[in-house]
Amino acid sequence: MLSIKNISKIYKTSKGNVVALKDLSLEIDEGEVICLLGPNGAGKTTTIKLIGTFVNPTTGTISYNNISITQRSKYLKNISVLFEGNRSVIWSLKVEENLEYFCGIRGLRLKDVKERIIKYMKIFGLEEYKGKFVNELSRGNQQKLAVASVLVLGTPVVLLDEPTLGLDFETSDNLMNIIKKEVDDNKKIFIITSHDADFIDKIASRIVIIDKGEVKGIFKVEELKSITKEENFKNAYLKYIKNKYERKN
Amino acid sequence: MKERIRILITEIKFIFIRMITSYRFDWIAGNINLLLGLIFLYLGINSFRDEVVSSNVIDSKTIKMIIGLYIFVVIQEGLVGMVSKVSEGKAYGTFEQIIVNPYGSWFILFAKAVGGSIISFISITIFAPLAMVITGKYFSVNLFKLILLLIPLLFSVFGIGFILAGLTLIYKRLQSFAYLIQFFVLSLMVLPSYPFSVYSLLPIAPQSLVINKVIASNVAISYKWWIYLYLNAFVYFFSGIKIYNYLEEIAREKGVLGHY
Repeated sequence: MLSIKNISKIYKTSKGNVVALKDLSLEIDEGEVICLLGPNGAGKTTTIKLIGTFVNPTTGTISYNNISITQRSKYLKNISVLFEGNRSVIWSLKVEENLEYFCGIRGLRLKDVKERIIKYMKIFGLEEYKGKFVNELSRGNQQKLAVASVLVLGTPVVLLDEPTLGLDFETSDNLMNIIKKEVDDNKKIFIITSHDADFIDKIASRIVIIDKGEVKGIFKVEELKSITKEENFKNAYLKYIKNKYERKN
Repeated sequence: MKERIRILITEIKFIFIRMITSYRFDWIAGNINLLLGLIFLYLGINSFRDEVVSSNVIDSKTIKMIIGLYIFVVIQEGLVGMVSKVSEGKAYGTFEQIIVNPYGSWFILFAKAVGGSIISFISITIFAPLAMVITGKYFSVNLFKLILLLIPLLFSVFGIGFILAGLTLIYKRLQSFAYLIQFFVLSLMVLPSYPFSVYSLLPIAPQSLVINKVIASNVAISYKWWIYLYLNAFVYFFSGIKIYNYLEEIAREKGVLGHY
């Protein structure tokens, strides 16, 4: 279980304190897909950064199976992360080499992961491109490789920041199916930020709505639809946010 | 430990050896540059042979120049190379995978730097004799002794490299500053740090001077000096890691770790 307790991040700047995230608490079970939702600058990526140890929380604690983020080396053995798009791949290496490289710098033995590499190339439809350099791939295939290079590490917690950005419908659907399969087969935890309402609707176990660093609500998708009496997820989300602001004003 | 060795092998294998195949043309051009540089160095110095300077002095000076060139390459690789790897990684997004590495980002940088140094050493070990064959001017170098002396030099350079890499985590781009520091560091090479003086306490200075003394001038150093060279190097190496980790924590606190 990934446990997030009262985490906040406040940046001290010359213009005063900036609250990037305020008091988020969440317990995530194995096999759950958590989607972080909110407008640009809401604090979604900050949440990913906090769980991925890129940023220290100002208050609160994060742990995976009772291993705290303060035990960084032990904790990080369970975490892999991909930030927006296809940037996390080495362009001077070929497709298969990228997967081997990322396993290698995690200290994994090539012999042990060879089968896994072949499996993920097959799942992502990258087999026919395994001898090609990254710049020879389409945008969609580059993105698939970036996600594959994270999943191949075999960590139980996977953090994905905007994984569908710039992907066509078909590739986005493929990615969704791959994540679903990972969750069903391996009981992995996924924490995903996205603006793709369709993607979230189909994949999320729960959604966390964040705005201006504040957690506005944590729901199951169906729960949000029922509260707002909307069948369409996008409309449900927009209605919920609108009501929330109207009540506040 | 096994995992760390695998990381080291991965870096050498993929980043450098595959770079050689991906950027083959540029790599060949770089080595031709190195070879031509060595040929002109040999021929230039040897043009004075027997006319104004004796043969023994010429040989010793040539070896000193080659060693100096290699030390320059090592220092450049260790300092500017480490800073570039952090800057480029942060710009392209690959540094994120280094940050979430359970073995610490410092170790991945160390593995990259060791890989770079090994490739540089192999290049110069191949091309220096080749330049001798082409020019017909021969010198002998005790390669085993040279390697034993290069190890503390490398660790000393890596120590300073870690500090610059740590600053890059906070200030994003630091290449120009690293070039500046590189010239300051190069000036350490000529300080009278052997026999023991206050300059011997500095990083890089005693290691680089002793390499020249032992290899080019055949000076025999005592076992105490061998111990001192390694001790001095490891003090700066581990201090460098400590400072790097401290700067990484500051970057984490400021939220500037990772991509920009």
